[in-house]
Amino acid sequence: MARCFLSLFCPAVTSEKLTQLVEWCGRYSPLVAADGSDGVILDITGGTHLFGGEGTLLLDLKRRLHRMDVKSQAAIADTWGAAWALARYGKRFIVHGENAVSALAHLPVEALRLPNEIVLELRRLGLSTISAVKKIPRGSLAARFGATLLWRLDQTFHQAEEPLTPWRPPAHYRASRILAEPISTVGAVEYVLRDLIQEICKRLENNHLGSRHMDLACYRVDGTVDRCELRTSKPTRSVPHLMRLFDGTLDTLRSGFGFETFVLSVLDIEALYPKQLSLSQAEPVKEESSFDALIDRFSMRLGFQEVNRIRVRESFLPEQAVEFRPTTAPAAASAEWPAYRVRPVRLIDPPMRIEVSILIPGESPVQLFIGHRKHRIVRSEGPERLTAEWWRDKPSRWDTRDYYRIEDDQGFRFWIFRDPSEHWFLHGHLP
Amino acid sequence: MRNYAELQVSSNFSFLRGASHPHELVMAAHEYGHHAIALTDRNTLSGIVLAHSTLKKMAEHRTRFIVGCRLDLSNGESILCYPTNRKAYGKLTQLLTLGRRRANKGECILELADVVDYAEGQHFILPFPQVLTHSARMHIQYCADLFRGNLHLALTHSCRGDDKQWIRTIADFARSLSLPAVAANDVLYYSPERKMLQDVVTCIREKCTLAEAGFRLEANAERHLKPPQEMARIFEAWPDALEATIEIADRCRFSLDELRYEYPEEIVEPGISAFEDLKRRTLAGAKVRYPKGVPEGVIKQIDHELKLIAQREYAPYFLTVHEIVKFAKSKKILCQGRGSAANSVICFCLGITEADPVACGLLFERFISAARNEPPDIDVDFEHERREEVIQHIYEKYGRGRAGLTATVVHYRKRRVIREVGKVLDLASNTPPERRELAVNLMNQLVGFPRHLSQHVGGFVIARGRLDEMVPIENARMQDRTVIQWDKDDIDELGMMKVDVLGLGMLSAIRRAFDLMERHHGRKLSLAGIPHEDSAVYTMLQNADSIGVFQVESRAQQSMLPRLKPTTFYDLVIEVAIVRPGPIQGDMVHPYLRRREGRELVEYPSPELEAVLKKTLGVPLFQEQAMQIAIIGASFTPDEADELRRALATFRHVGTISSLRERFLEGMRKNGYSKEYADRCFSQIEGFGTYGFPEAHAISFANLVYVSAWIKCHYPDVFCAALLNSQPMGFYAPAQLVRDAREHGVEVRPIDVNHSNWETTLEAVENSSRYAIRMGLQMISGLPEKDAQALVAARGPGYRTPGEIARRAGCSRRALDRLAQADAFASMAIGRRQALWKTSILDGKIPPLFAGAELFGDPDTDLPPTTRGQEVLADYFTTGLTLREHPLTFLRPHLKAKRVTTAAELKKTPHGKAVLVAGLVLFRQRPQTAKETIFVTIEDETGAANLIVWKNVHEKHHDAVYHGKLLACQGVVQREGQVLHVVARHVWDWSVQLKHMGPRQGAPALPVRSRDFR
Repeated sequence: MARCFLSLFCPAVTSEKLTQLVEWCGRYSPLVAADGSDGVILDITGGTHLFGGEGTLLLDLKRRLHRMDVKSQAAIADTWGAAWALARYGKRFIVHGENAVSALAHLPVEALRLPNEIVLELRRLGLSTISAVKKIPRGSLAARFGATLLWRLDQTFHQAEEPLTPWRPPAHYRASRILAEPISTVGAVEYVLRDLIQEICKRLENNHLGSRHMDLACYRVDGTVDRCELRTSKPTRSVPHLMRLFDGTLDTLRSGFGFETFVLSVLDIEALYPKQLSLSQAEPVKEESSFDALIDRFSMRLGFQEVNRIRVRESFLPEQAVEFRPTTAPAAASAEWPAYRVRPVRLIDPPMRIEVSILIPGESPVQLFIGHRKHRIVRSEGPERLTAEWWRDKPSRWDTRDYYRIEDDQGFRFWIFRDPSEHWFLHGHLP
Repeated sequence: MRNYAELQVSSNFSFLRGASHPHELVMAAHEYGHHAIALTDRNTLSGIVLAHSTLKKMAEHRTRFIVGCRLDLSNGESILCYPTNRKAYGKLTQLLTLGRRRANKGECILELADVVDYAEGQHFILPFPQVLTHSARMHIQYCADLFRGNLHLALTHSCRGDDKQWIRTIADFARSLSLPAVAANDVLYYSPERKMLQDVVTCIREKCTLAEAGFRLEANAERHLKPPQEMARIFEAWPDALEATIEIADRCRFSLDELRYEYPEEIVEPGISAFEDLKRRTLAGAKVRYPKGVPEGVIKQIDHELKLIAQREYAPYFLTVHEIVKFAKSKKILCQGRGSAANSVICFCLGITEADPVACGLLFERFISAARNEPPDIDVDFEHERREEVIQHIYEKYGRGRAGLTATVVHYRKRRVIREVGKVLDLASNTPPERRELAVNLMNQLVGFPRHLSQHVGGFVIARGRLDEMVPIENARMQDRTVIQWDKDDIDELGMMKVDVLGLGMLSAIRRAFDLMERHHGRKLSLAGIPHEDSAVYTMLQNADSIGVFQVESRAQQSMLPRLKPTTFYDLVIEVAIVRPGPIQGDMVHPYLRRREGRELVEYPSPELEAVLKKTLGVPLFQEQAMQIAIIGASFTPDEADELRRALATFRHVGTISSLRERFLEGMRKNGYSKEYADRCFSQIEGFGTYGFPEAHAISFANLVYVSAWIKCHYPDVFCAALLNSQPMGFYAPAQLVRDAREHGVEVRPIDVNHSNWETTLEAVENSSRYAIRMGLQMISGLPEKDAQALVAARGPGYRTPGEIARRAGCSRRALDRLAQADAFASMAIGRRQALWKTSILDGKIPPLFAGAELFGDPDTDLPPTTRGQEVLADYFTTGLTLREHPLTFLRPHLKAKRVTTAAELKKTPHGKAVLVAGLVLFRQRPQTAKETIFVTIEDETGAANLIVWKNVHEKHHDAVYHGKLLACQGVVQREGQVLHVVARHVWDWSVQLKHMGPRQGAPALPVRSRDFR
């Protein structure tokens, strides 16, 4: 049976937008793929009647894209190559059978989807149209341009097959099961899922990798899809752990008329080296620490953004020095804090203004008052001088701060600082 | 109160670490009254001369400068090194040379073991450790053992919070090793305000933004130079550490003043003194220069010069330069001295320079003055393609330990600073104005910071003893080049000898022309042998027929020639000197021309100045005239005048210019000159400082102008071929040179596989004494020389088919393709397309058995015919020029319809008329004297036209003016004598039109290469 291709040419789309378009084009045919960086190719063989014929389909497509504000041209032909050429360079947009030869004759050689060097070479020889190239004996062409040119010519004029690989999201690992009969119970889905996870984890283990992000796509009988995804704070390939994490979400799947296909994809991976068994074998190797597993389960329940870890941020200013990041975010080494720069566990925010008495200007105080309470200072160390991070939009209230660690006669320890105008502040309590 | 010496200081010669210039640091130390200050840049001594000379110039000598260096070792540790005496200094420079020479440019590889080898006489300090890692501890222990008695450990208070305790820990550790401690502040900038700049340079170094920099930045601004009182307060608890700074400073007695530069000696013939040798060589040279007997005046002058040279002991210097020139001449490399050396008749006699200074009335004192105690500076131009031979000869003769190229400090320039600081600050269009202001402030501070050391174009320093005992020598980017760590100013400051070995394209062209003349015209000539004062040459130049002629071919020069109407050699000297930014900025051109044409009275402000300015009709045109005005008019001493020139030439001492200006104006007033005249003189001097030519230099250049013009005038065939073979050089592209030659009746023949050599050659023409030019294969862009040479070597009686070339010469497919594309098969009666078709299956690299198609017969194919336009387009693609019609011929009907005036018609168009012109862009220029204006030269099939685009126009039509290949311009004709311009009102880019010449769709634009903004 003659095949039928639709080529869509959308100059000036971003790669994101193109991905969207490819997904969206799925409405016309399941056999859809991105075609270069500026087009989509659809195999619409045998499906055009659903849209009222080829002409109507083309109109419908163009109208919708126009509404979506996408500039586009589209053409339908018997081959991918011919449709591609017509969409980009043609004057006619639906061409079948023998008509293709005349419709393509005057198009430039670029329309043959050739590498740039070959196009340049052809142009230098004055062979600038498809018809001019077709006039040259095939042997002479092959001797000069190799197989590529002939291959492209044949693909365009229906003398060679050109299979289309349908679009799928990029995934590092993928496993799928197509079932003979649709299923709809949680138990049955769990069974398939365990099978998929085992397969994937085996492959991950072989390559010393672990998953940080998985996606399970469940295709219903009617062609719609339901998905559930799963992120972990550490790379993992533990089947029980992954099953436990999926456990809570499987309930949310709506099976409708039943699922017939399952695809499990790993969207993010990280290195995970196998653990050495202890020689004595007395202690069995624990695959995951129970704490990490707990964090993952919290994340699954509460949402991936809700569970955070505290990280050191490289700043000497105490209020800038920590940040919160989701546990599932890509791992990045936390900066090492210079041990000699002592910081209190909690900061007083904003720093509390205090009164002090000082004996020698420029030195640390001998007494300070917090509220009405007087503290006699017996020990002090400092100053640790910190300047404002001048490049920030709001650098800091103070240009420089001189921090002192002090201890009163009761053994309480404080972290206080002096600003350039000799005001004193309490910024925290030290252990 | 205790005094203090700062011993750990990094300037901005520790690139992207220090945030102050060396002179800022030492001036601050002087201000604070430090006992001494050391400079310890990382593995370099580049900043020390500047620091040393700055302190030396201070009125009061209270702060001593100590030479030092921070040695960053390859194990990640560092040690500071201070030579205590001259010998130790030599060891340090040798150590740095060792580390630098075995690393790539800009890097240094040193091991602790190397330091031990050169440790004699050095004093060391170990930097203060901020954390005491195991390896740091080991390093300190190790050094304590190695350098016992000559090693201190630094203590630094950086306000990190636990300073007292930490310093005590380190001090205790030092004591446990019986290592004395010394206070140091590890200074990065002279004042805390520079902390921001220091953050910025840190980020540039680390290639990150400030927001990303994190702990790579300092927590506070404490690493500035602190007054002794403050250091005393900080180190109250460690008085010994303070005392140690003075002790160490007093131990390091070495000063750069001890460096005694000595000229190399082996050039002298054994048994006689350098002076005797120079005298002998000069007199021998004089006999050659003046074959009819040496004139009285010359003998007197030689005696005079010898006397001065003897007094200053400069004889070895002259001999050194003479040796280099002699070497070049023995290798048949053309050379000629430029610059002030042409003032010396000895240089003339030795063959270093080519113009007779006595005949030109030049003064030796401008070269070497009794008053100024600075070494002479001889610059010699060599053929640009063979200069490397001369350079390698010098390395070979004196060895890399004794000869090195001067460095050039590459400074941060505005454009780069804007980019780098913008990146670091993450500036965006929505950045608030206060931040912007801050950014601009930082940018201004960074401009002028040294960025890296580069090699000077050709300044050689040669020493008698080991040069690497005077200054560290490092690798340059270019292979086989070594560079010292000091630049030209540093060399001058220390009175070291330098020879500039420069490259000049015109010399290569002239040598080629001499060779061609000898081979084809049977005429043997040399620079000195060209007939003098040939009136045909001057007639040619008066008509601005000067394309290809040295110096006077530029557009500005071309428009000056008809106005100046040169008739003698000295007119050429003036021509060379007058079209310079100096005279133009000082508005001296028009008064001179008016006086020359007799339209203005020649008058002199005073009789004293008449003597100075008589040669140039009362208008100062040469650099030394400007200096003489300062000396005679404003009563400057020669030294002061020279200081003025230097201050203007470099922006090193910006502050001094305004005070010199006041002194100048005051001096002129006292000597009775009008304020207005004084003001004008000063602005003239300002122009000269940077851009003026000394008279001697103009004479040397004028000599090359005359020689090249003479060749062009009498042998246009030879001239054009020589220029084509010396490309890239000069102002014009091959297309204009060829066009000019054809306009002078020279036949130019296309490139052909059966006739062309690699270089452009001359071919005999029947019934003519003139030769035709056969363009060489080297003009084909992308043709490998190897293939072309193989083609020429295997040519024999000639090739009949492209296949023969592939087989006999073994040319690659790529080479054959370039040849076909260049239409070089015309002698086989094969057109470009057919040739491409035939060659596209050939490849000499593949054995014939497999290059099957030709053997088994490739059916001849009818390819679509080409149009003339397509051929022209292809010519431009491969060779950058065409011998067929000018591309605009094909557009002419279209242009005519738009009422476009041709360049030929333009010549007859009256002043003030509005016209529309169009042409291919040859040049774009933005003269330094008129920065707002862009000059564009366009060309059509009838000739060239000059456009002036004012700022308001080129701002409006920016893309067209800057990037257009085919420009259309609507404007008004402006005539001034023979000079004609179109002042643009509107400019359009019509480059698209060029595509119509080629195939209809998707054709690449015509590759016209304009030479822009040079």
